Amino acid sequence: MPVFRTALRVIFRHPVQLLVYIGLISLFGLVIIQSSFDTATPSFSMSTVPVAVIDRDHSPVSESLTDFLGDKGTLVEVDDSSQSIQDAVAQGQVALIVIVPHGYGSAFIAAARDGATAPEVETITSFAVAYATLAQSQVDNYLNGLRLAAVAEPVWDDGDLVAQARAIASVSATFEVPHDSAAVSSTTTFDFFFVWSSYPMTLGITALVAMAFTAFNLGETRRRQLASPMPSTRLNLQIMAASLVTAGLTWVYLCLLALLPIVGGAPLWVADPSHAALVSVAALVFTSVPLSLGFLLAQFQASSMVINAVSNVVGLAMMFLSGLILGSGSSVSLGGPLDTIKLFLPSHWYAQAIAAAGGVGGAGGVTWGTYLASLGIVVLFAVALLCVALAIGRFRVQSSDGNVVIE
Amino acid sequence: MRTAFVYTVKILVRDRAVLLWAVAFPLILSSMFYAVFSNLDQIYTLGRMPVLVVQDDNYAGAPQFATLIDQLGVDRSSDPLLEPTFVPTEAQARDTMADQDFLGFIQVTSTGKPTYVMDPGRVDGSADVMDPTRQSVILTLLDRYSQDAAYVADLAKTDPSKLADPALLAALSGHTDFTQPISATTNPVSDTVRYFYAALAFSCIMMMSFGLSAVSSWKADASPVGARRSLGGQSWTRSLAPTLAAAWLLSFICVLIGFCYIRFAFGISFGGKEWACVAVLALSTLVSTLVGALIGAINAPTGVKSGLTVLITCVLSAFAGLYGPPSQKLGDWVAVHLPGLSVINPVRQVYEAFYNLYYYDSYSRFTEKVIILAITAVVGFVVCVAVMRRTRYRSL
Repeated sequence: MPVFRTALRVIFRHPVQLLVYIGLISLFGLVIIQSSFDTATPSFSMSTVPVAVIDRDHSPVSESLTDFLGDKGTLVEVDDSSQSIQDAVAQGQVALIVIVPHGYGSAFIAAARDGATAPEVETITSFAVAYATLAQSQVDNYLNGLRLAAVAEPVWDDGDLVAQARAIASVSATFEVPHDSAAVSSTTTFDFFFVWSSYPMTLGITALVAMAFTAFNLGETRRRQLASPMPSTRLNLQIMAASLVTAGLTWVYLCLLALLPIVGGAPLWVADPSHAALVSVAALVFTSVPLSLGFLLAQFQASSMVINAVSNVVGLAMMFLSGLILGSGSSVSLGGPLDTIKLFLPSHWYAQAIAAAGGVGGAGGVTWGTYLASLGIVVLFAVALLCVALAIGRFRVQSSDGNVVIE
Repeated sequence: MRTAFVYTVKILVRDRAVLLWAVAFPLILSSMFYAVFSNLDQIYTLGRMPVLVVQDDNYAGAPQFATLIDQLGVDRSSDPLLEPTFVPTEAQARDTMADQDFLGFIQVTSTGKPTYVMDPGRVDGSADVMDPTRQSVILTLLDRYSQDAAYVADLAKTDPSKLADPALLAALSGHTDFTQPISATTNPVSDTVRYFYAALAFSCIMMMSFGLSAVSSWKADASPVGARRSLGGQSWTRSLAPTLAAAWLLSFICVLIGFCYIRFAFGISFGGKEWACVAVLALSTLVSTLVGALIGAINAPTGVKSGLTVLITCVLSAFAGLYGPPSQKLGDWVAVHLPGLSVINPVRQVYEAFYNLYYYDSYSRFTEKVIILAITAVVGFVVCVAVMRRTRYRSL
């Protein structure tokens, strides 16, 4: 087994790739995903929106509106200067800025009582358009209550009207979430982590495997190997075994990250161990793709810089083009030709397999047909890449009289 | 010095791997971003929210509620918020919600009040991060109806005569908006441009490879060329200065190609301040050349050095939002809560410089970023000089 041991040594002599591509990037994903998905919340809670009110009126109406928005969301202090307003919007500190102009309160009440068109407050939206719509609806609800009160009680003063408006706007519609979705939530987090892990797997395993095979293909090394009595099949199988060990270790590391309570004491554990097993198996199957890709890359005898560049490009391309970065690959439609392009990416089928294991996007049982078919397609991708690599390798050996040393 | 400059340019251009890394990568990355994110702003808006509405006898008995649904879903001329699909029974609504892509269903109860039942897969923790907000908006829209109804019921108890007032009835009919959207920034707020700015900032720091290669060709123990140059009898300043200048020039050209590609091929806006962008690119490539040179000066195998550049590029870019929304969130959080960390991250500074040019009409924020980058470059230069002057080699 000396070749196997040497191949492993070559791989472990790239600590930066091991540390960054597999170690840090996976950990980064885990921390971010855990903080994005609040697994402790069992069901639905109203989104709270960061809002700022620029009060140029200083009337009971504007002050009451500010208090109301503070109760519904988070009030952010923004100065009444164009620089501060631009800062708040461009940096996304607030989703919505409400500007209450001078004399607004009395004009609004007068217009309501006269039956005239109510004056509007100005709003500035940040790029979080959805949150801004929510805050805008809350402003509308409050002012609607104020208008009703002003019409119904024509002799009340502003103080009484704003109290009534608050009372009206505090009524909420009833809602129901059919059953406890805690399990769904943590399952989603677990699944999302594994879907996202296709990126560190592609990046890390491809680069390391390519470097291991390239090291053995370098001119002088190759010549010495050919002179030795070991058949090249056995030699290649041993390098392949070392690559498999690397892929396996990467997979174990990802599983440990997902299953152990590493960050914040909240494990990405799932209520359903069989689901966890199915997702983990899908990840193990997916490692075959970067393994083949690394082998293919090694056939070109590229330098470590090119290997790094290509694995970065392929990793990012698979993540972005299959929509993994925006959610699970199966549920986010990128629209247009990208929905067709992603069908040709193994990462999309990997995400499909995880979704079919009963996770992302809702509860439900395992769709065995889709699960097995998707994993089958992932394996076929790996086999196709392997075949291309073998063909290129054969062509290279037959057509060249020597191997170029690049490293 | 001119000869040293010309030959360093030749050495760097002949290294095909570095050239591929420097020219092709920004082009590939931005093309990918264009393909994926060109319609990103639509993904992160609410869109028309698909909901089921149970159209049973209770619904028929609440004509005002039916009017509200029509107003929100059909009549709203500019951008309808809801996309209602009508089903005859609650049971059918539950089945359809489970099978298809609906956020939930709205039902009018026997008391005439609306109830909203959410799809349990599309609440907190949903794979689509916008779902909880969509649900909140739907609930807030329904709140308005419940508030009107509760107030009418209240008046009916305390003073029923007011309900005959035509002015009140007019106020109760219809779903009026009281807000008027205006814009505060020079250019429309967009989430898409952030990715291209991050990609460009990433390309700038990646140009470290040129600094690294250039110093390898200068350092006596790093390459045969370096060994020959050290015997040339030139002072270290006269040989290092053109070496770094050559690396910087190539970095700048490569990034400029990426910039032109993003600006002109994809039409990504830089707020009409392209010349200021070119200045940022020049300054940031100077920073990355110096960082690359510093890494090149370390006594370590080539693999470790190139690994170190990968490490620096990946980690610093994460805080500029290169890896999508979670990474943007992290970068924004660090910028607000730990501003010191953002200041020492040149990738973040370049990203923010572009961002400030796009959003602000004044140059004050942009100038801040440029000053920070200039200080980083000066610090880099001083450290470079301190590390590289009077270098002694045990053996060549």
